[in-house]
Amino acid sequence: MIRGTLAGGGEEPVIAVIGAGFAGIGAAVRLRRAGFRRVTLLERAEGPGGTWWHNTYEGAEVDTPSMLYSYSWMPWNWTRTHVRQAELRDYLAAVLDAFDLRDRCRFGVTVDRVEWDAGAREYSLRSGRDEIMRARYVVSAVGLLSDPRMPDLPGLNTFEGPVFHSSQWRHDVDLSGKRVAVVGSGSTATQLVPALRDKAKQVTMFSREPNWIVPKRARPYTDKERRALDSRVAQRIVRASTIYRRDKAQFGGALWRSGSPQNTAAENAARGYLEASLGERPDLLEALTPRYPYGGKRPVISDDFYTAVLADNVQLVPHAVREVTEHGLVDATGVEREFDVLIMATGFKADFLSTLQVTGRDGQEIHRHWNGDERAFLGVMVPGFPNFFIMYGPNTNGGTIVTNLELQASFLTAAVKRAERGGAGEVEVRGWAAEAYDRAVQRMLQGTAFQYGNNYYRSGSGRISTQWPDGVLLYALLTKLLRGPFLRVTPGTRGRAGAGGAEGRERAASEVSS
Amino acid sequence: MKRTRARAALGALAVPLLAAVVPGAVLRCRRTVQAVRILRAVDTGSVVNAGPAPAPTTPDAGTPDAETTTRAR
Repeated sequence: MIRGTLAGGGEEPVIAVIGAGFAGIGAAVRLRRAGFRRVTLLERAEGPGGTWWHNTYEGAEVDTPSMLYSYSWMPWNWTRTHVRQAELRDYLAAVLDAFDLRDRCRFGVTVDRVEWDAGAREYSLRSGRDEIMRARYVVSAVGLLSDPRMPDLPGLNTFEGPVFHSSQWRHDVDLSGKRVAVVGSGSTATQLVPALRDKAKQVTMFSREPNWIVPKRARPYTDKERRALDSRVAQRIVRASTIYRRDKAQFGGALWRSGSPQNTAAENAARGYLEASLGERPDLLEALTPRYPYGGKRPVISDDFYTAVLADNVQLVPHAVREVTEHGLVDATGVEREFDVLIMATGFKADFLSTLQVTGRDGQEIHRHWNGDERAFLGVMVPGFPNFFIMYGPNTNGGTIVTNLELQASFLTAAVKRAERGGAGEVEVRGWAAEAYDRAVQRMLQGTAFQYGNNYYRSGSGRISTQWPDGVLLYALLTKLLRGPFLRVTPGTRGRAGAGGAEGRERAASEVSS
Repeated sequence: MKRTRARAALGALAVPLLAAVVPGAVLRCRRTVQAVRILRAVDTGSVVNAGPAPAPTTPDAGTPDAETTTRAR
């Protein structure tokens, strides 16, 4: 077990980062660059990458341009415009090496509980009954969509062939010449179907509800383009200009407001792509045309899905699955089809901190505190949970994700620095600030397409808890501005021994807050 | 006396130094501008529907920037 900080000892704080995916590695690098050397990354997998470690399914690829789906401070000479899983995993491993963080990683460690110890002013991180380590600050970087969601279908255990979730790919199962069922119609399923059609004898996709699909234009970079990628300055300039261009359409959430010119343009472009691709197949056109506004569900970005569904060995079943039998699946209309392999591309549990129990001040557990309505100040801090930070937390999904993660890492690093200036104390968002922020975000989300459709954006009560309503520039601005008076720092004992009792602590608190 | 000599030496060095540094900087700058042009020309399907809605049969006219919605995977 690693011992945590020593009260009054003047030691550097121990900072635990749970998860070694994009968020965790980004936070660890930011903290290291700020001078915090005792950062430990705890990862349940046997290597770095998070989502990109686990998702090894056929055709796994990002749908954001590679240049944006990477850290701004670590440009890379990508082989493709949209990077594939293996290269992305190697990239993250290279980041660990570049910032000398490899020896700060502990792989194969599952943290399931994080408990605040008010006396010691540090967290105890536990796995089952064992304490793994203690840390003054904890950063949760477990991701939003990391816990696979297997559908609760009657008879699922009775199927005689292999059944697996797309994120838990069975590489030991040879799909050549097999009849494969893909359940789902989201991003993963639309990558899987084209990837499997050349291999499997028959691919059948069960789609409960179609998605709006737009072309990706993915391809390998040419030699000339790769030489251009060698220029780090050029990459940064292009990255910044691309973010700016994207933000223009999203200003005020325009892209996501049904009926706005931006939303209409997006929907028309998606419809045009659909009609141009499947115009000669009215049955498919009908089955794959969404009945909700653009943005009501997470749009899919794909170049080859529509081509794939036209193939002779690919079948689209525009119905949900009702049950599983020994030999196949029964759809919602009662038709049974036989298969050799079932692949569940049914997504992930969209619950925040779904794999963690976090207990803060006064023994309050974070999910009970939320009571089904996840919310956090800038998506990062929750009142009552001092020194605890969430990466990719509530209402931060959107914009340009890796950029958002960098902004969150910067925000939390500033908060940790401030607490350390306060003598190894506690930093926490003020209750009124968190409430006001949440009200403002919910107001911005009103009238967006996120409120339509069957999506993962909403919490149990129906409020939108995952989506950020605007572009990355507004989020950047807020993470820089909402710092000073919005956070409360309670000084610790280190370096303030002479402050003298409660009165001294209060005085010190006001000094730090001001 | 020593100062004068140092200044003279620096002055003598300045011209070749500038000649070496400035053309290099100019060359680097030109290469960067060229790289920016090449990379900006790459269509990554991320034109955030800037401009009016394209006609339904011309999907290439504008690709909505769906990536900006949600996390990409």
